[in-house]
Amino acid sequence: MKLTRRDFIKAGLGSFAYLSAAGTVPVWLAKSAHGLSSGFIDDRILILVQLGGGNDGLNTVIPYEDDNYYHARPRLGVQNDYHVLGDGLNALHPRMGGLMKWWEDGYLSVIQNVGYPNPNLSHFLSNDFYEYGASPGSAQQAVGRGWAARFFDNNCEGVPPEQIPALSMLALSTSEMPITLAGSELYLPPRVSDLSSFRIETGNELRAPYLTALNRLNVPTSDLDFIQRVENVAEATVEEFMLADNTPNLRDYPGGSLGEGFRNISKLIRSGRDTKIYFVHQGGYDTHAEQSNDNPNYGEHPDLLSDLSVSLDRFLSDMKDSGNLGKVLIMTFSEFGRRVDENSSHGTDHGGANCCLVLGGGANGGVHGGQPDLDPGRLENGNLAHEVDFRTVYANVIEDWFKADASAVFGADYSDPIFGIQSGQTAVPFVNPNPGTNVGPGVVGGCAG
Amino acid sequence: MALLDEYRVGEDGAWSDREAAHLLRRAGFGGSIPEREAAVGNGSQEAFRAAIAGLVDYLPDDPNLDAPSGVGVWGGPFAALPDGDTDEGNTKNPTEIMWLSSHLFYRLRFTSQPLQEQFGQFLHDHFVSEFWKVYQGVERFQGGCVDVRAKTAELLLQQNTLLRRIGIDDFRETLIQISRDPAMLFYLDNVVNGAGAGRAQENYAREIMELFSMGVDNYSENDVREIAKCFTGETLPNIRDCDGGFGAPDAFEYGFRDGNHEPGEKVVFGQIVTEDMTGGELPQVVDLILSKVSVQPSVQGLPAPYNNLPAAAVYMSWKLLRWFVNQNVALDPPADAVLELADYMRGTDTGDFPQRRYPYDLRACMYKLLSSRYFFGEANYFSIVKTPADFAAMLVRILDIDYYRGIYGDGPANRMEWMGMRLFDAPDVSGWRQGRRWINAEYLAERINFVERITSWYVSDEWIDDLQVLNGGSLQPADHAGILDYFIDLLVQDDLEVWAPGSRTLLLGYMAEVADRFDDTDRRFQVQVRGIMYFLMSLPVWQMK
Repeated sequence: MKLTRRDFIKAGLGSFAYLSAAGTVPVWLAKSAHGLSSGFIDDRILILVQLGGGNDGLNTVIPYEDDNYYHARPRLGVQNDYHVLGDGLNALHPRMGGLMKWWEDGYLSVIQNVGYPNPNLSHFLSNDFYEYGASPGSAQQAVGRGWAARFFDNNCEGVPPEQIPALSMLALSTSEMPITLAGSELYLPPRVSDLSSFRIETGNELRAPYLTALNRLNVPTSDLDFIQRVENVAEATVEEFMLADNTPNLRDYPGGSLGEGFRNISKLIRSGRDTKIYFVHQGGYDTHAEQSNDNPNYGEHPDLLSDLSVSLDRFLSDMKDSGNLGKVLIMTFSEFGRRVDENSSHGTDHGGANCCLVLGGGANGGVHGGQPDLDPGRLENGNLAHEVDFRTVYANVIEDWFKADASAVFGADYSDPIFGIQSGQTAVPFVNPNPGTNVGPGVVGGCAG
Repeated sequence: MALLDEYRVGEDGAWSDREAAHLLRRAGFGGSIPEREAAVGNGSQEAFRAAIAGLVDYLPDDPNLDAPSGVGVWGGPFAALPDGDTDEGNTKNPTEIMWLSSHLFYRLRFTSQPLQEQFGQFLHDHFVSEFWKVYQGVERFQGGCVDVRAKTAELLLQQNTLLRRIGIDDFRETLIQISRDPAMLFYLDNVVNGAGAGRAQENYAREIMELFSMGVDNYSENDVREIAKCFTGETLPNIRDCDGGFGAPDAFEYGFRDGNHEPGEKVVFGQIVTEDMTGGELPQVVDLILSKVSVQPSVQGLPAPYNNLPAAAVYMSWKLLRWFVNQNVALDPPADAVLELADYMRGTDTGDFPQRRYPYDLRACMYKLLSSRYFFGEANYFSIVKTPADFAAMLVRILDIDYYRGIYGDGPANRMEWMGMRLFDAPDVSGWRQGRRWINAEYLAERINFVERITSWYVSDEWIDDLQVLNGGSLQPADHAGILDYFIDLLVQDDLEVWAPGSRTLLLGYMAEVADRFDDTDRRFQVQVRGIMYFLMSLPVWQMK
């Protein structure tokens, strides 16, 4: 059987009409016209920033008035040059000055004391909880669907597969597909690191339709079917990445993978790609030893914060200049915070509750979630106790930013008293109800502590 | 009958090319046609055992690559490479991360002990040390005295050599030695544990349990803290001598610094670790780790003898099964094969190899595993996604082509990185994620692009012309089906229509279309052959092993 691209498309086997080979899972595959008509509200975008390794939240947002902080951290405690947030309690690390103008204009919220009950101090187990958005051992973890993937499925249920854009969700600057985005029943998102080099080499034109056809077979195992579907995704997105890559840069970004990720997201948004959820990763936060130099404003952890701050600042500036600032909500997360007291290696060990940063037009500027209580008697095994369950934070994003139903995403967890967002109430009002109309300086709110 | 009972030729199936191909894909980097023929031999039980033993009973030094004198002295094809700052010289004596990767790829390409390198890959993923972090440590202490990049490469090569030489033997000894390996001391920060005032630092204490031996949640947070104390002073005692700008010759040698050690008795898993101010607490801790009964997964309620299996035996069995047999083997609740192997792993026999000689004899476990009925079960064929190192090394070894040089552009180190695997630079301390997580839009595209590059540029016209001769003249350019069958046998090594139904018709269609376009017979044959190779190695089944 000879095959040309034309025959192939005529036969209905083109790059979109596609059924699951294994027949067990309804399979997404689409390269559609832009303008998604699924349940997503207008053109709002969520960008998740994973701070891998467990970021030291207490050295990110400094509780500079708290003697307990300096007592626990005689060497690592940040003593000066921090940027006060105006609440008389908290300040950004000295190396995060680039975020202050966004703070002043109301585009930055800090959510304090984020965590979950009985925290697990394993990077991988705790990260799983955060990425699945689910309790240990829950059905959600067993099924292997990340929280954003569940949200996507719930929100796009009933949308014809060919109307789901190929780039609905996208992972950049990660070493692999993150759990958060993985496992959707409707849709398989791509992961890339370099837009400019993304291509599929066929060697000659004759081969292209055969390569496509060979990846639409009725293969016998779900692993083989999965690989076929990923190949289909790659085929369907090559052109989209090229269009994005041809969009000019507006400014320089830091050289690391995080800066590169944000530079690419800026291009993707400005080129009109209809991605709803982006995921980027910054690693290196597992600072057990030599977390900073003798001067805690410099060294390993401060350098990471600087990279984060500069990348965010550049990206927000791009968004502002291109009229996209009102569309974006950025949220950082990390698998855990660090131990309150420093160790014998000038570092911090795995800890409990942590802060999240929320930025963009969707942020309701301010410090939320109450003040970390560092009284040694109130710590749990030396770790900061949590006040705001991280799933409540996710639920707020779903309900307040995407105006969608969070209860279906979190299932049984949602009726747990730990959730502060039942009956449509906003537990932690960090999402701006009227994006783009941010006001500053940030209002100090809070619902706990 | 137990899953891990020996595979009986005749009763359980044949010992033929198909089974040998499966074995060589797992216990090495795939078999060429002659390698498979040699493994099958006369197809008897004895030939089967000989094939397994030939793989498992490897020597610490590869006769083809190593002179028998340890790190940095190479024999075989390594010795034939020139020294100096060339692609080959740098591959031979790597001084930075990409050359380390190139060096290791060269081993995979030319080893005569393929299981040694495949087991080496397993251990490289299990006992992670990332280049950048080791580099930071070397720079911090010895930045003024040594070439930091070259020293880091040397330390990582030293670690790799340690694991390759002893890693398949006594796991207890490996755990002790890797804990004192300089690159590991930097990577998980134990080099400074106890160096300053305050609480013992927990990084290595946690990961030796969670990732290197027992699996998560088989210990309490208090155990982590106590073991961290036991490990204080396990360091490179002379590493700080660089302060004056003079590197001490023994700066990178392990030693115990009692001044940094936290004195007193410690309690681990409810048992006493006796104070030892000379470094004797670490082996005590290792022994406690290896005997602690599994809580996660729980073995309580399982029938004897599984109800008191140690966590480390369960976890390491699961890791071996996942790497060598099937990526979907479950840890919790543990699959039957996990329990069987764990029970075997923790036991002791008095007999000679291949029976286990002592607990945690991984070589005996590998013999047991690879010769089992379970290993050859139909569900385990093509059930593991190849790592990028597998992918590149298998392709080059099976085709036997001249490809190993360089770290940029086409170089294997670079191409493996594009496919998602920079050797000596795992994404984090848990290693690469394995399985389906090797496959995403970009990494899969790069696998296909790699195949395109190799088949276009490194499979020469002469290589293709030789096929007609080598194959006894049976590859006739006009015989499309015969050509296709040859490459299915060479590359897929199984019934293609089972794994990619309908592909045969498509591939023959492609060959016919090429035949229509090219009048010149040689040229037509070359285009057809390159195309068939490209398609076969782009198929989902070739991403698996």
